[in-house]
Parts: sequence; structure tokens; C-alpha cells
Amino acid sequence: MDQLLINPGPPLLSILIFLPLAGALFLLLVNNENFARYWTLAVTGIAALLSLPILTGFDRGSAQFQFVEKHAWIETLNINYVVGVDGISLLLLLMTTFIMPFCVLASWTYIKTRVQSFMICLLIMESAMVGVFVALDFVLFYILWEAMLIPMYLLIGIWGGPRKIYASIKFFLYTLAGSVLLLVGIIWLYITNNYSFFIPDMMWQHYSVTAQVLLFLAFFLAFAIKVPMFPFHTWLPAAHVEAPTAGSVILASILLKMGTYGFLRFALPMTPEATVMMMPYVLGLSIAGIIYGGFTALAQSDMKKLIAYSSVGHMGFVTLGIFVLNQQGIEGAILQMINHGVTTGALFLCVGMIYERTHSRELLSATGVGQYMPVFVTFLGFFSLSSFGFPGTNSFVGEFMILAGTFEYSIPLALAAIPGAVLAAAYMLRMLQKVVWGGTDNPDQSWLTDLNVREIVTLTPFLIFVFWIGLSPQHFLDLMQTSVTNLLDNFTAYSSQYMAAADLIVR
Amino acid sequence: MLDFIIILPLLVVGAGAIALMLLASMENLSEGSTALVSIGIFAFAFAVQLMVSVSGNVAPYETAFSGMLTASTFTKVAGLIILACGLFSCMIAQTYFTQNKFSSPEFYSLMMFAASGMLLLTMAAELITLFISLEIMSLAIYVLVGYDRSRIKRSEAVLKYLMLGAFAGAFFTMGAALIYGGAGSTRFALISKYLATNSFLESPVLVAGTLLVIVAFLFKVAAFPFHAWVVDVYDGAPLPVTGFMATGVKTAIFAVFANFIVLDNGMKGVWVDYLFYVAVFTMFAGNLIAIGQNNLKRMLAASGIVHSGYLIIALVAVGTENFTGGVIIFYLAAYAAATLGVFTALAYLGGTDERRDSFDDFKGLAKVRPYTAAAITIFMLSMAGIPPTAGFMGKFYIITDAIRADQMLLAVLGIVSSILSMWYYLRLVIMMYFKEPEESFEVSGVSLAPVGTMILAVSVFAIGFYPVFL
Amino acid sequence: MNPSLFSADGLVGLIFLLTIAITIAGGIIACNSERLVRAVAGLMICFIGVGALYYFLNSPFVAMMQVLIYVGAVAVTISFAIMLADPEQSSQHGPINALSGPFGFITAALLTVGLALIALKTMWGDEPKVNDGSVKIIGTQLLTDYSMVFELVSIVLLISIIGALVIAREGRKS
Repeated sequence: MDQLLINPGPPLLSILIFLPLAGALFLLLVNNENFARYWTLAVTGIAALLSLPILTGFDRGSAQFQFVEKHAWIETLNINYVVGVDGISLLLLLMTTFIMPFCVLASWTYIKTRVQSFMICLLIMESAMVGVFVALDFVLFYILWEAMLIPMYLLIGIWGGPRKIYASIKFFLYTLAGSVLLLVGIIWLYITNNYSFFIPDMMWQHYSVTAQVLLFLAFFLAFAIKVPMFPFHTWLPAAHVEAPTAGSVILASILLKMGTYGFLRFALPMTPEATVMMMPYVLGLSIAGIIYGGFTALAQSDMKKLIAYSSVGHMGFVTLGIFVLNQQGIEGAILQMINHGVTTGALFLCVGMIYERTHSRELLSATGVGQYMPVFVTFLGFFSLSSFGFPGTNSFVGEFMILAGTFEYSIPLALAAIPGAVLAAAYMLRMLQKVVWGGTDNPDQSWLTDLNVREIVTLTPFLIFVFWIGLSPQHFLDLMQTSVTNLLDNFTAYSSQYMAAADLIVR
Repeated sequence: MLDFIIILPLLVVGAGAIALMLLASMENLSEGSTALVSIGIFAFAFAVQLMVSVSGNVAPYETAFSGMLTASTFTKVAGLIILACGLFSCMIAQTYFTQNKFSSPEFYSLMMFAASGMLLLTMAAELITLFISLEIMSLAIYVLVGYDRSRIKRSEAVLKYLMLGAFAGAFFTMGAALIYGGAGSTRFALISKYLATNSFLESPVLVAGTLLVIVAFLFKVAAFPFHAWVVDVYDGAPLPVTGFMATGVKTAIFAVFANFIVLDNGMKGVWVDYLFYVAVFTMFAGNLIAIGQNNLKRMLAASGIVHSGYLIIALVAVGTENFTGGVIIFYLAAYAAATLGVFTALAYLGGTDERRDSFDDFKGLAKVRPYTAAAITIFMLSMAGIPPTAGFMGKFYIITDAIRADQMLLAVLGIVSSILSMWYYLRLVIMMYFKEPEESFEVSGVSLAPVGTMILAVSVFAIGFYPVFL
Repeated sequence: MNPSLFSADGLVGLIFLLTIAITIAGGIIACNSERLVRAVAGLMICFIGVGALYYFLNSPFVAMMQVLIYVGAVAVTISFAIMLADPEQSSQHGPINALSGPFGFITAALLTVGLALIALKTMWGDEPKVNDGSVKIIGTQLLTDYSMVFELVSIVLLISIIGALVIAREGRKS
């Protein structure tokens, strides 16, 4: 329990979890679409504001879990309600609470049918997502991790595009199947750890190598599907393409991060030896994902698909950063998670705005809108630049740190990842060129109206973060530094102990 | 005196059944008030059962009525579940009979008799008592299944159920006789004592006897080699009866099954190896059957097979020391809540003569009746074991138990099967949410079932978050 | 020690075998006769055989009950039911599986062998004392230890009556 700082003040994290849920329950009784919109905006907005005290009250010098709340839940099985944040989860938590109001704004006119149900789904999603990032009890984590699937499934299935049923089922079954072994792993850990589901207690324990490898594989399957890493990515384009804008944004910005968060929170600390053993393979898959995502994105004519595949590439960078296992790599990876959330989320919002006007996601039907929608293409331009890591934008910092970390680990590996960055520039510029200027055969776009105030308000904060992170990343890195250092210190301490033990056996 | 307190709820239900028939002989008792009276009786019995204090986890064979009955927290909670099932089944029946005209007061009486048989069954600690209570329950259920003689489907169902039920009863009697021959007593306490001093495997007559008894139980819960009847019977039975059968009978049989299997560690050890395969095959056979169904009742019947499979996993994992049965009871409660929930919804959506019964009939329900659709979705998710519903917690406890009992493979197969089951549970959700409605799902008359649906939808979460049974 | 056929023990053995033969013969008649009335007659023979077996098992009371209840009441009731029902029974059978005969035989044989093996292999304890099986002991048992079960049987009967009435009434309506 020494990893915990019990929260003396108001139970902020619990409020963040239960406020949206309460909002959703209230909406059940409401039968007014406009009220539902304003209500959801208010609830998500309040949640965002309430998460600010966590940022200001967060002790950057400590690697412990902070704002911890602990209540007994199911005593016979020693399941507790424990929540807390550390440097790894803090930024993800804030990103979640801050993106949600903009998802509501983005769905303001996009969603025309069954608005209340949509908003209920969004609010339940928020509860579950916040919960996943702060849960410190494995059962609580798993419950929320799985519970998230249902509202997401409904978001895609009810308000999605033409192939929504296929996409929603694929998403659901894929992610559900991934977590099959996770549950078994959790229960094994529970029994091995003296019947405790408390996550920090499970870290840095000396499980046998075989057990670690099996556990790692169980974790890997669950998290790699969520990320998604290269061979497990096929659900992503389908889900992204068919989901409504808000769904795509949540999916890209927050859900995908849960996979990488899972690696950092569980795989590294609980199965360090297996991590070292499996590292080369995971790195290989990351590189494969980067290159594959890039090439596939280059060939897409559907804008959402293009961005979806670019996500595969970007998340490849994140896993690359995590598994080179050094300070720069992991910090870069965490930062890149945020960057990807901001940038890709914003890109999906942009595509959604075009789709609302032209009712098509085809690149060809959106060519040459620059002349008529100057404000829109300005935003799109900045976000595209950010997406391929243009210096001065957020992704540049993240990718740079990851690549620097990779160079430190292995030069050939870093060289292998470079083409990914080049490809990103290629596909993003291709899209940008077509959308802004197009060619001589542009369709008639003169009837298009530029962004309205609501849409500008939706996009501006994203732009602010693009430049804020891009120009002064230290603010953000400070938050995570201690936790990452602590993670790596523990890791090296553990591995050296293991090496020493192995040495002893050899002699 | 204490003895009678233990069976007090049973007396309430039994006396209620008789009183109801006496009341019914007065002409002015309408169908609706009969239902209300029986709901009241079930509620009263529930309250009585709740108040009967059986303190702590009584050892399995602390006995009453000169060793005929046992009472523990396990049997008490099983009784509560059964009485709740009865209560909600009456709600279903009330609504159902506003649209289907073949009811008479005896319907509710028989329901109560069946419930009293089930209550006895949970407490039975002696083979003859067990047999009699099994027969009380089964006879009442046979009649209920065949209640509506005007439809051929019902006759088919009752014939199949009666035949196979009689077989199961015969197996049980044979087994009981052999056990008596081997152990010299029909009382669980004495059999257990005998087995403690004598090796189980050295006595072939005991092996054969327990095998036959277990086969009879497996018949009743529709486990793998004996599962073929269940789909037709559940489909053919009237809706309230199907709901009651699926939940109440299963609860009663699994309660007595658990009480029986923990008789002796050696005996359990022998049968666990076989129950392992039974559990696996039950789950996968059930899934295969369920995937192929287009009719909702048939799908639910097949999914009932799968749930029996999970419960057998729980049986495989129970320890004979300090048996509390909390895991089994919890799963039964979760399953009962979800299943009865679907049936309450079907009661008012089904329409005249159970018109709507296939998946396609529920197209676009979410648009027309969003609350009902949401409730059905919750029930489906609970049955599929998706968090944070009670169904998930139930599976979670079962799997934890299985891993604790070193049955890792069984745990993994259990989860795999629950993923497979998503396929058919989701199908209904897809129909309700992702398709456009073709009709208006009109519901005639004010009735109780919608209330029941909502109560059960809430309780699916409540049971999950406050597992008072464990 | 083989008693001679014409000693008292030998005759008893002969009668015992005869009883078994009657039981089996009755069963075969019940299963194989085309007409229902004959099947009931076969059933009666079978019941009588079983009753005689009970007698050999030192249980004259049960033997008497068997004859009274099964032969006297049950079989007669069945006969009534058959006579009240439509006599023009269509004797159409569904397609009979060619394998059902052999399968049935094999199952029955396995069951017999299994039961025989169990009977031979078991070390029968001396716990179930042979008593005189008199009405007195049975009565005492029913009213002391088994009093609750005894009462419960009345519920079984009640349910049967209600069930019969309900189903019969439904049939009359239509």
C-alpha cells in the first residue's frame, strides 16, 4: 500500500466516473432532443472542469498513485473499489475528459435520430473510459474495460454508415475475444498474489518465467487488438469508417490508447522478464505496422479509411516507443498517445464536417473545397501537418523522442521506422492537396458553406493543443517524468536482479 | 418446533395453492385477481423465507425432520430465488392471459405446488424425500406444460417431457435403491458417514447408484447427452411455464445436485473427472444448437443448456470442505433474473397466441419501445456475461473458483463458450436496434409484466454490484 | 451344495425361476402386442410376477400391495381408458429404424450384465437387516421417521387429481 497517496479532499476521481453515469441515468427520463444535447454538453463540460483540480493538485515529484480512493466492494473475494492516478494515466485522463465535450459538439447536428440514446451512450462511454484509466483494482478495470464495448457497439451500430452491422459486430467480437485470456490471467494473478486484485501489489513480483510469458501473451492479445497492432488491426478501418464522427473520435483518441496504456500499466511491471524476451517481436510488429499503415493509407480513396490506416501507423510508433524500454522512448510514446488523440481526433472531426455537407467520405467528392471553405482548409492543413510530424507541431516532438529512443536502442530499427514518417507525409499531403485544390475536374463545390461558429469552437482547442505541445512539450513531459523514471528504475532493478540470479545459476 | 419453521415458506405456498382453489370456486373471482392473489402468496412466502433465520453456513447435513431435510444459507437463498421466480412467473402469467385465453385458477395453484416441490428439493437430504419432491415438482410442471390442450405443439412438448421425465425418475429410483443397498441408508448424513469410513470405488453398487442419480439430475437440467428434449419442450410450453421451468427447476435441481455431490470427497473426485467433459460438451452443444435457432424461445432454451454447462463447472469446482455454494447460488440468481426478464418482456410483446416469437419479429423494437428494448438488451448482455451485469459477475466467480480448483482448461473453455454465445445474444440486439420497425408492437391492457421487466432490469445490476449471497 | 430338484429347496428354486419367467414373459407381451388390450394383459402378468418376486424378497406386505394396486387398480384403470378411447386405432407405425432392434438388444444386454456384475462384485454390508417386512414395522416407520414423506405423498396425489381434472376439462371444452 506504500504506492498510494490517499486523497484527503473531495473524491474527484469518483465524481469523474459517476457524474456522466448519473447524467446518463437522468437522460433516460427525458424526452426532448435539444435538452439532451445541452444537458450532455453541460455534464461533459463540468467533468472537464472538475478534472482540472487533479492537474493542479498533482504532485509531479512523486511516482505514487495520487487522489486515491479505496472502498471495500465485494469482501468475500477481496475485490475493492480503488482508483488513483499517476504520471502515466494523468494525461490520458485529462484528454478523455476534455475531448468528450467536443464530441458532443461534433454530434450536434450530425446526429438527427434518437438523440437521447446517443447522448446516453456517450455519457456511459465517458464513465467507463475515465474508470479504465484510473482503476487500480483489476476486477474494476476489467469490468469497465469490457463495459465500454456496449455503448461503442451501439454507437457504431445505430448511427453508423451503410455497413454498420458488419463493422459493429466485428469491432465487438474482436475486442471481446481479445480479452478472453486477460480474464484468466487476472484470476491467476489474483490467486498467486495471495487473493488480491490490487494492481500495484501485482507489479514487480517474481513469477516464474513460464508464467510471465503466458501472462504476457494474454496481456498482449488483449492490448494489441485494442491498439491495434499490425496483424490484429482489421477491425479498426471497418469500425472507423462506419462510426459516426463522435464515435470515430472516441475510438481514435481514447479507445486505442487503452491498449498502449495497458502495456505500460500491466505488461511492463507485471511481466518484466517476458517483456525483455518478447521485445524483439513486438518491435518487429510495430515497424511492420508503421510501414503497412503508411502504404495502405496511401492507397485509400475514402478519407476516414485513410485516417484509420494512418492510426495504425501512428500507434505503431507508440508501441515502438514503449518497447525500446528507455526514458525517451516511453516518454515520447506517452506524449505521442496524447498527440495522436488530439490530431487524429481533430482530423476525424474535419472529415465529419465535410461529410455533413457532401454526405460522402470519398476523397474525390471532396476535392477543391479550399476555395469555398477557407477556414476549414486552414484547420485541416494544420492538423495534416501535425499528423505527419511537421516541426513545430505536437507530433514532431513525440515522434522525435520515440525515434531518438529507438536510435539509442538500435540504429537499424530506427532506420526501419523512418520510411513510416516519410509515408505519413506522402499520404497526408496527398489528401490535403486534393481537398484544398483538387484538379481540373473538381465537382461543383460552390454551394458549400464554410464552418459555423460551433464548428470553429469545436476545432480551435485542438489547434491550441497542437501548438502548445509542439512548442513547449516540457509542460507535459514534467507530468509524466517521475512516473516513467520510476517505472524504468524498477524495471532495471528487477532485470539486474534477475540477471544476477541467472548468473548465479550458470556458475 | 424448529423443524416446522424451516418448511414454513413451503407450507405457505402449499396452503396458498389449496386456498386459491377454494377461493376460485367462488364465481366472482376474476382471472386478474387470481393472479394478484397468487403473487401475494408468493410475496408472502418470500418474506417468510427471508425471515426464517438459518444462521451462518450450517454444515451440509445438519438436519431436520429426523434427517429428511437439511437447511443452510445455501438452501435458504435457493428457496428465495425459487419464490422470486414464482412471483415473476405469476406476473408473466397475468399479462400472458390477457392475450391468451386458456387460464383457470388451477394454473396458479399448480405453479405454487411446483414451487413447493422445488423448495423441498433444495432442502432434501434423503433419497426418498428427494424422489417425492422431484415428483411433486415434475407432476405439476407436466400438467402446466400441457395446459393448453388445443394446440398440437403443446401436446408434443408435454409428451416429450413426460416420457423423458419418467425415464429420469426411473433412473433416480434405481440409483437410490442401489445406493441404499450399498450404504445401508437413504439419508445423506449416513451415506456420508459410510463413505467416510469405506472407500467409494470399492463398492460398485455405490458407483452405479450415484451414477444413475447423477444421470437423473443431468436429465433434469438438460446437460449434454440428455439435452435433446429441452428445445422442443421449452418451445411448446406456454410462456409463463417456460420461464418458470427454465429458472425454478434449474435452481432446485442444481441446489440438490450440489448438496448431493458434496456428500463425500472421494465420490466427488471420481465424478468430477466425468463432469468435466459433461460441462464442456454441454456448453458447446448448447451453443451450437442456439446458433441455429430462429425462434426466441428455442434460442433461450438452448442457451439454458449452455448455462447448465457453466453451473456444472461450478459444481466441478466446489470444495467438499466448508461448502457454501455461494457461487452456484449467485449464478442461478443472475441467470434467473435475466431469463425471467426476457420472459416478462415477451409476455406483453408476444401478442395473441405468442404471435411474435422469432428474431425477425422484433425488428426495430428499440425505436418503438426504447425502454423495453434497453431492458431486453441488458438481459441479453447479462446472459452473455458482459460486465457490469450480474451475469458477468456470476461467470467471474465461477471461473475464479475453477482456476482455484486447478481447472484452468475448464475456465478457458468456459470463457470461449461465452464469447461464442455472444453471437446469438447479439442477434436479437441487432434486430432490435439496427433494423427499422415494421409494426407498432401494440400492447393491450394494463398489465404487470412491464413492471416486472423493469424490476428485473434493475436487479440485474443490483445483484451484480451487491452480491449479498456470497 | 446343490439341492436336489425334488427337495423343498429345489421346488422353491423352481418356483422362483417360474416367477422370473412370468415377469419377463409379461414384459415381452406388453411390449410386442399389436393391440393395446393385450399389452395391458401382458402388463398385468408382469406385475403379478414382480409381486411374487417381492414375496421371495421377504416382503409379503409389499407383494400384496403390488397385486392390489398395480394389478387391481392401475391395470384396470388403463383398461377402462383404452375402452373409452377410440377403438379404431390406426395401427400405422412410423418408419422403424432397422438398427433400433439390435441397439435395444445391446443396451438391454449391457444393462443386464452391468447389474449382474454390480450384484456379484459388491461386498454387501450387513447393514440392511432382514426383518419380517410386516405391516407393523412399515406402519411405524411411516408414522415416525418418514412421517413427512408420507404427508408429502398426499400432495403428489392432490396434484395428480388436479392435473387430471384440468386436462380432462380442457379436452371436453373443445
